[in-house]
Amino acid sequence: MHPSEHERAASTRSSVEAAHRAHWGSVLASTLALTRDLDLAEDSAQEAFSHALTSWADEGVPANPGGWLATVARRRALDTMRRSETLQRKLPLLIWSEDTAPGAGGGTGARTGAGVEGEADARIQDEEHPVVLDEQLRLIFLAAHPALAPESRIALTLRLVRGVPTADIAAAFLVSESTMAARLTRAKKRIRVSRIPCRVPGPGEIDARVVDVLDVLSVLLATGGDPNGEPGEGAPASDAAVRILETLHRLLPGHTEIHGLLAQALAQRARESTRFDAARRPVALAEQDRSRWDRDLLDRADALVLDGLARGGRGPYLLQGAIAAAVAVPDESQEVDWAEVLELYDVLLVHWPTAIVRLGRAVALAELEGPLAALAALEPLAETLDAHRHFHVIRGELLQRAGRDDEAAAPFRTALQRRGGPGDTAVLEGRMQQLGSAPWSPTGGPAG
Amino acid sequence: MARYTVFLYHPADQRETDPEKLEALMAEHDAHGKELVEEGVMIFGSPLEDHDATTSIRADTVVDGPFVEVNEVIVGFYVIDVPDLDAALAVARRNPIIHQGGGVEVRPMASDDDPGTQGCAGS
Repeated sequence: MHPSEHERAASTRSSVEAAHRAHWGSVLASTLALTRDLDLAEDSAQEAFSHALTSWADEGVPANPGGWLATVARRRALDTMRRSETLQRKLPLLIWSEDTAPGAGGGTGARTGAGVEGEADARIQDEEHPVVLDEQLRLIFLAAHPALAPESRIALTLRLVRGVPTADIAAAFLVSESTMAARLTRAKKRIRVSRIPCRVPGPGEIDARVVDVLDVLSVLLATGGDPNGEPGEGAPASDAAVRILETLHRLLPGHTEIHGLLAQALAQRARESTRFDAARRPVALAEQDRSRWDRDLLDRADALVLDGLARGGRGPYLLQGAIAAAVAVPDESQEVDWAEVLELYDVLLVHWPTAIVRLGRAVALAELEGPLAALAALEPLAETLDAHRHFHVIRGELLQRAGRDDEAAAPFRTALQRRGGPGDTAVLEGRMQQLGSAPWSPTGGPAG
Repeated sequence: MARYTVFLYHPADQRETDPEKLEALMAEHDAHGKELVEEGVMIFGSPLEDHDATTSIRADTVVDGPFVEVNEVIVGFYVIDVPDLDAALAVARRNPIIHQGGGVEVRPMASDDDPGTQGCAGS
């Protein structure tokens, strides 16, 4: 291949990849509005992106890549539908209820194609300003439907809303590709057989359904889709979660729980470059280089939280967002207001009295009243949180801060026996060495 | 439109024995059933006699009692005709059994247009 041709192929590839990130959801959603068949819509959208690889290399990237892709995907879907029209339709169509969908839809006659063709293309614009279609909102709610198994919801969200390849989803779940493919197939069959509708929930149910979506996204943010459970910069799953949150925020303004999780995600992202050291070991919040935090993102997180609270929101996601924003003070001369953080935890506990929330509260308490008060608060949690590595790490750190180094070795050793990422393990082993203790007891064996 | 069967479950050991209280509970179900008929949602439904009134047949033996011993037993069922699962769940959620200590199960009925199931009740 001629060098310039090689360069052109590379640049086409990166254009198609950028278009995939920006437009997969709208291309699939607008095709689905036409086909009302998930598999056909997915295949057609996939074909449109592959076609772009050759077509854009020959003719250049079109002015409106998203619109181009949607047109090609729908045309392919229409061709397939016309070819199979003489055959008996094998499967029932996806239920595409019109009653509660906001904005203009394709109407019930969408399958004829006349109503959808062209109209949606104008709404799908360039990469910098990806326009979200209300069809996309339907996909987000469909993928996170409470009638689907929780792990299916997460997989379907990545697949349908963001177009993450099955192999990558499988890697994030630590299962084989064929297992994941089977899981996705089962979930789609469940949608068909149970007739789970592809619709935007009505006013009476939308708050609960938004929380279902946020539950899926918070798992994606927490794991980052990284096989080792350690989120890194631009990890596909957490990146997908942030983009979906932005979409939700734009289409459903005023839902304060969305404000909360988005604020939490932005605060996390703002600190992304400082959360791990060069060897991929996690760095404690107090030791992170605050000058490298992204202030714009933190400002946005603050604004989202303040707006959410002003609207009267007091839900768990908003409160967690408030905590995430409160502890990320970018200014070296400013202190975190731990009294405020503790207060937020107390409100959170009223709505969500879980051991994990109590653990967070104990950490804030340590900052206000010292390690001994926090250690006392941890005691009743020991049984419930025994399986969590984090619990033992926090306990060890508090004992160290209290000057009880001899007692700190035991919780660190227990922590090593709990599941966790390798970077995390390296930090713990370092701590054990500082304490002059072997990372594992002679009888206990190494960490599993 | 699609048909769903809603099964009503209740813990077997928490059966109401006081006749007056039982009557009040049943009255709630009667009223709810009438509502669903008036709304044009319910096709057919019925409460069931006590779980221990069951007769089972396995191979060539007829046995007194249920097929499987379980903690929660089916105390009634009804068939509804609605557009989709969300509509079915909205109907089922209103069932009085839910605040009477029991619960419901919503199951799609097999229809002719789905080859994955044995069609018989297509609308």
